[in-house]
Amino acid sequence: MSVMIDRAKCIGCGRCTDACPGNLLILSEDGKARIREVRDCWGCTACMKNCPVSAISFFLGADIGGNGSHMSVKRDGFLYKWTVKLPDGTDKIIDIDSRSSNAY
Amino acid sequence: MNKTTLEDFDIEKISTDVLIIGGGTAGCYAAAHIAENSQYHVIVAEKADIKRSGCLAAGVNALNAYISDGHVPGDYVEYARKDAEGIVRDDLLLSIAEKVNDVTHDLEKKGLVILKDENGDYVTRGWRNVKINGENIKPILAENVYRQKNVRVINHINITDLKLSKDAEGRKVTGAYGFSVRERKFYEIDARAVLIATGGAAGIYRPNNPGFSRHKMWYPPFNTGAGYAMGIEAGAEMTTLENRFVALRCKDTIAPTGTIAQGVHARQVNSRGEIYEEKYGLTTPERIYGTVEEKRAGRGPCYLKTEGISKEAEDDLYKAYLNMAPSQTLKWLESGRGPSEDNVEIEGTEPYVVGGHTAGGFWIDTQRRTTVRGLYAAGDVAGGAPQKYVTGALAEGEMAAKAIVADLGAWSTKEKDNPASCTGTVQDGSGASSDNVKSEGKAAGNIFMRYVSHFNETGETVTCDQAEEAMQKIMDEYAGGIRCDYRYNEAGLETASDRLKSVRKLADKLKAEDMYGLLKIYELRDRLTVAEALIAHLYARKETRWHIFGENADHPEKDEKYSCYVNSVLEDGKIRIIYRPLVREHEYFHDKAALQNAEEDAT
Ligand SMILES: Cc1cc2nc3c(=O)[nH]c(=O)nc-3n(C[C@H](O)[C@H](O)[C@H](O)COP(=O)(O)OP(=O)(O)OC[C@H]3O[C@@H](n4cnc5c(N)ncnc54)[C@H](O)[C@@H]3O)c2cc1C
Ligand code: SF4
Ligand code: SF4
Repeated sequence: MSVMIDRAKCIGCGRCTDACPGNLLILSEDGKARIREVRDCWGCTACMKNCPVSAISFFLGADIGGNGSHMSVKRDGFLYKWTVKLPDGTDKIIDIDSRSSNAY
Repeated sequence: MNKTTLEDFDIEKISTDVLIIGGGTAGCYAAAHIAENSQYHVIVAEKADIKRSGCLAAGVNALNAYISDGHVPGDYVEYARKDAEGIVRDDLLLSIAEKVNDVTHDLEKKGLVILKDENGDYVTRGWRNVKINGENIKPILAENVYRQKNVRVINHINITDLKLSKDAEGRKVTGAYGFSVRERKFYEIDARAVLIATGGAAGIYRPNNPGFSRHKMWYPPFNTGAGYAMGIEAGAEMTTLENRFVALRCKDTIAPTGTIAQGVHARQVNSRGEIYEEKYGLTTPERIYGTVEEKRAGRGPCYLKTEGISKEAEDDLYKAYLNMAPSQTLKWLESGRGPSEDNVEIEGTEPYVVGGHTAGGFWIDTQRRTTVRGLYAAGDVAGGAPQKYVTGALAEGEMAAKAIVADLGAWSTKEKDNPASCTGTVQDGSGASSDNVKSEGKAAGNIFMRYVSHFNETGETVTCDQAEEAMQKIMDEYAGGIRCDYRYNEAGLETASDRLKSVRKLADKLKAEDMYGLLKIYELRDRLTVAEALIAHLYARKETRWHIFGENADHPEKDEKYSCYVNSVLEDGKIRIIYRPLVREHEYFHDKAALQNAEEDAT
């Protein structure tokens, strides 16, 4: 899996570049974030959770079953709103309340 | 093209009381503990940013080490000893087990969400597991570090070497060297005590998904075994590296299986629908062994039987995975078939060296001192105590912190020393010519020149990626990786050892375009050092004590002769194996011999 950055949304704040445990994200010359090497992403989603404008989404490589969907997250108080965009254009949304623990 | 020289880099020299290498689970907790319980100045040197670095970046799904009501710490020791076929340190396990509940309560106080029942008691999963929302566990630990006024965190700095000095009592660690992964800047940090908390080593073997998703592995691909490598090179004794860890995971996404197995009580079934787990046993290695054997017998693929679980359970699984391994949830959603419709395919991962799950790492005393004076170890980098997990790593961080505070106090009264303060000076490289640095200490000059040399290599054909793939392929094929169902034999290990030497030569000649490139080269160097030591350990345990973790094809049975630890030290560039008797006492001190080994000059 890896991440992709929506350049139109990115405001160049650099938070994702600090958050990545692998130092994989950097700001390009034009001030927008980019990933150095797509194959090096661990998939921890730390960058996504730190992005103030939800510009980052992650996807599965075809080698592990990816079919063109991608997923993003938006923070709203205690809620994480995860949105999966499927290739057919439909969305699936899952809300996670960070105050409640895993059922399992 | 202009030659890069030392003048092209800034050099920052810092001195402090305590240096913590790795601001992960154990490192963050140790830093806070020292600051809260002493006046000492602490530097945390972290290669990423402590807010989301290391194992906890994505979050964890449970606290795996906790002693629930009706059980005592001794039960934990017993369980872990049995699970590891005896090759554990009772003293280390007991000291962890006595602390895991305290650190759990402390985590809750700091803001971790822990599931409670109507009486306010923790809800446990089995008798050693507490259910939590562990998504934000790392930010919680990091914030607690930033609250301390005597701690300076230096993020985005990669430590590569320990600084060694000699005094009247012999050799000791007095700091470390590293470089910024962002700016052209090198660091020399002097410290009176150094704690290594860099986690374990991933990426030594070819991973499950070697192509596009090569970093979709269980253990963080950014924990490259730097701590082991630095320790080995400094002559510290290592233990039980041959007790590799392999995890049973959801296929492709490498997401945890325990949540499904325990959460919805899913059993392991083969392609014929037969439940096979009972045939092989229920420890982690046995579960993987069963999966490998079923496949070898032509009854694969293997699955966790989830078909038919309720839609409600399925939703709970989606959420649980979003908090720790989001790719699994995405996989379910994008395939349009969730676990209630399809069983979840499982596989074993590539092997890792990780002292928090199995027992490979630094040989330490009960207080977490390594065999080199001034050097301490905690968390996944420390050996002897498997199954410590998050709470065990925190407990070890605290114990190491206590030992450091006590030792610094004792040394101060001895030396009548003034505590060093945490000030730094930045020199620009032009002032510090290589001669200049040499006069400050030969080692600094050598190490910095080694960094610089990579900027001057041409790197025409071989890239760092290629060299890493070469290493992973060698380990996979000759040292018991996935390709050979985790089996190895002596002939293969000899071949591996031989071929790694060529990769080592390649690594010396790799070109760095920038500081990140230098980081990649040093990550490879870490892994090579760990791989070489690992091979020596695999070779030295001439038995098969653990399926999968140590599947020795020349010696397929357990042999009571090897009811001992396999330890090693690097001396004069050669790895010397030491067999040590099992420690069943509740307190262990390094014997003279161990310390002497470490005192001998490796340089
Ligand atoms: C994916 C995953 C899920 C897990 N889930 C659970 C769970 O649910 N429950 C549980 O109890 N346990 C779980 N564990 C185990 C637990 O998280 C670890 O055992 C524990 O966090 C290890 O702590 P540590 O301090 O040793 O390593 P880490 O927390 O990884 O810290 C090591 C730090 O050192 C830094 N570092 C490395 N090299 C260098 C260098 N050269 N210079 C400077 N810094 C460096 C790293 O960036 C990192 O921040 C999980 C582990 C993983 C990988
Ligand atoms: S998902 Fe994790 S590893 Fe991948 S780019 Fe984001 S922060 Fe880095
Ligand atoms: S955090 Fe988001 S907005 Fe900020 S630089 Fe990264 S992608 Fe752009």
